[in-house]
Amino acid sequence: MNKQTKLLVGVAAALACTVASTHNTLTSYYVPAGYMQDLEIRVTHGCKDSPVKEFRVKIPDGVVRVQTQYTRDWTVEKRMRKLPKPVPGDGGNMITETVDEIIWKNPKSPMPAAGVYEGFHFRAAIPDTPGQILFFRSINVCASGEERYVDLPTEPLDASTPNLPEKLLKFMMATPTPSAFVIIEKPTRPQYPFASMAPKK
Amino acid sequence: MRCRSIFAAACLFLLPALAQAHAVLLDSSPKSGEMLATSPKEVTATFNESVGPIFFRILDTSGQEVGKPGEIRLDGARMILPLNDSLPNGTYLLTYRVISADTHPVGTTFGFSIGEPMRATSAASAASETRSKWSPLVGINRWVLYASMLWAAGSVLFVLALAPSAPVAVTSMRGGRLAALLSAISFVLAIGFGGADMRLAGFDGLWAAETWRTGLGSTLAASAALGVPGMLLLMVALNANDRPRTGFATVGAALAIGSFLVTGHAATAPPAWLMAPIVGLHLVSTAFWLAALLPLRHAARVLPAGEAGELMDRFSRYAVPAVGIVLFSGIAISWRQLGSPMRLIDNPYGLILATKLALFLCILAIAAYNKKALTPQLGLGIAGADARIRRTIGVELSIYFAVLLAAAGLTLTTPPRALVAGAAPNATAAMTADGTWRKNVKDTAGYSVDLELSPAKAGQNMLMATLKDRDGRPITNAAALDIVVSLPAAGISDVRLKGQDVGNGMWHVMIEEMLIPGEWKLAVEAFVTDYDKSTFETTVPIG
Repeated sequence: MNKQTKLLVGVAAALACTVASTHNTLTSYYVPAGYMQDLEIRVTHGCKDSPVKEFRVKIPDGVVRVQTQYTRDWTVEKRMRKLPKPVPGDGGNMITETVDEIIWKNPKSPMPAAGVYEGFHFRAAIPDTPGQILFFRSINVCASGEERYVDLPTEPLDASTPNLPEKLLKFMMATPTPSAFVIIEKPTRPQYPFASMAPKK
Repeated sequence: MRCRSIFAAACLFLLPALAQAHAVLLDSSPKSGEMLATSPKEVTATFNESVGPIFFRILDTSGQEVGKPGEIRLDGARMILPLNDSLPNGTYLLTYRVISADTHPVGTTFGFSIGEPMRATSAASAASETRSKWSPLVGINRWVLYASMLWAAGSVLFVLALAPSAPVAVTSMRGGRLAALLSAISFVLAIGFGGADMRLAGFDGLWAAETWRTGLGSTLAASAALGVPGMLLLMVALNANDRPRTGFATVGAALAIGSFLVTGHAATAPPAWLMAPIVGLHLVSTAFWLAALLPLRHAARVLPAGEAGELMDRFSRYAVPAVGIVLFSGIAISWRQLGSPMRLIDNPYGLILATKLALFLCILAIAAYNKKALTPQLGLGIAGADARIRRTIGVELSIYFAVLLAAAGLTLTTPPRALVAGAAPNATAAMTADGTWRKNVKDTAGYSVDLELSPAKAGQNMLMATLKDRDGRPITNAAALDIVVSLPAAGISDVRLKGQDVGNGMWHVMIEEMLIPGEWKLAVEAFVTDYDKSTFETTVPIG
């Protein structure tokens, strides 16, 4: 992805944020391929005037080694799913299942319906597939009703899609409840300053 | 010549009378069938446009007005009736009648209850639009108005275009003057008749000041304020020796245009830039032809046979293109209002239109006979030709009035235009004898939903949706199901409603919002799992 496109995506995202700040979004729009990455999904409101008492995220395929940040405010539950084939996990073990869904629930006090936001934090290994766009579908479960930010674009999108910024903007603006998304990019430099010192495989 | 073309251009916009846009109830408090815990302090009704209230009442089941209502207040499109008395527990009827911008009175009645379940009431179940005994008179007056207005305008056109010799021109202009006078009177009567119609008054109600106040409060007054001077100017224009005064005629016609624009009867059927001129062409051609018939009949008697034949020839030169315009513009307008030839038979509007068309074909046949057979005879001076041509023109003229009666009838009938707003007929949808609309809709992923809407009529509707997987088996563990209904043609935007899971993959939604007939958009958003949404889109005709 060239710089110009990247800039345009940023502008589009910023525009979408100001106009349609009511969707659940990821705080980063780009993540480097193949590394662990901190992720935050931001929830900005409840369901009409009903406070949020539970928040759920579906982890997309390819994202593994999910770890949630410790929080005093919510009880965190992780539901697992079997992987189609084992992948290497921490410390070289092969893992056969991964987190399918994270559920933050039973808050100390529900998140008020308006005027505040909450960030839900977790980290995960991003697949080594530069150009792919990951969609994190999420649900705000409120005291009364729920809002499902689960819509996907009508056509498959990736970094090579022509006019990607326009299409992403359109997706965020024209879809009533778009999923949060993040674009996987090729790392421009090693993620760790001591990468060159790592033992050769 | 220039004035003549200005006049013709002005006439283009005359009388575009078919489009209608009634006021529609969007919300009310209490709602139809609602059970309130306590007596309301006020009742409200919200419409899609601002309305003028004629009456707004709460009745008990014996039909007595209750609640000691105060003054009706208006807040934009919302109508509020404060109640000074609290109502004891029981069943009540809310009834209203309002006028909208197009002067068409609409009203309804529905039941609600306080503190106890609603008892069945005949009026509540009917919830139908009330019809006044004045409606036929309103229609007849409109017939006279149309005929006389077309006649007056047509006389100017006829004399200007054909330049007939003095005796014929004088007859034509005398007829035009009379028609303009009649038209002016009709404009005024329309206020009183309309007022009485809106108030559901009895036949003696025409003498009540209230009636005229209601009429004057509607756009009929503005229409008459322009139409009457317009017609008087046409009278002055025609009150000349043997040529109308084009200046007066142009201004008169312009005012007449204005009179029809303010009543909301403008050619609003989209695209208006196309429909308005088409309706105008239709009317100008009709006016020319209609107003020519009597002077031509007169010409056959008073003019020497050769000259009369020559005048008829000249008339034919204009009349042949005029017939084409009347026919094709008529077809275009009908197509816009009906949407499909099938609609000619399955609703009152279509039936009247079909009658009008049949009568017009009779006129065409007679006109062709006149032109092909009788006019040459007249020109050759064959004995008895003048008498024959006078007889056939007489018949033609009387059929013409029948056509205009049908046209006036059309304006009192709601066209099915809204029903076909942009939607193609559903091949897989079926309206069964029990009044339930059924359809199976698939999404791109291969899921499907069986939809059943009953009664599929304006008012409360119940939707039953059954979700099915790719193999047609019910999906029993779907997370949620929402529906979104809208009627863009009437400016009713998305209304989102939650479905209730009733088991076995079936979801149930009560829809209170489908209160206007039309081709409603219906989108079903089914969450097959918590995160997987399937959207099913279709349209449903609400009768």
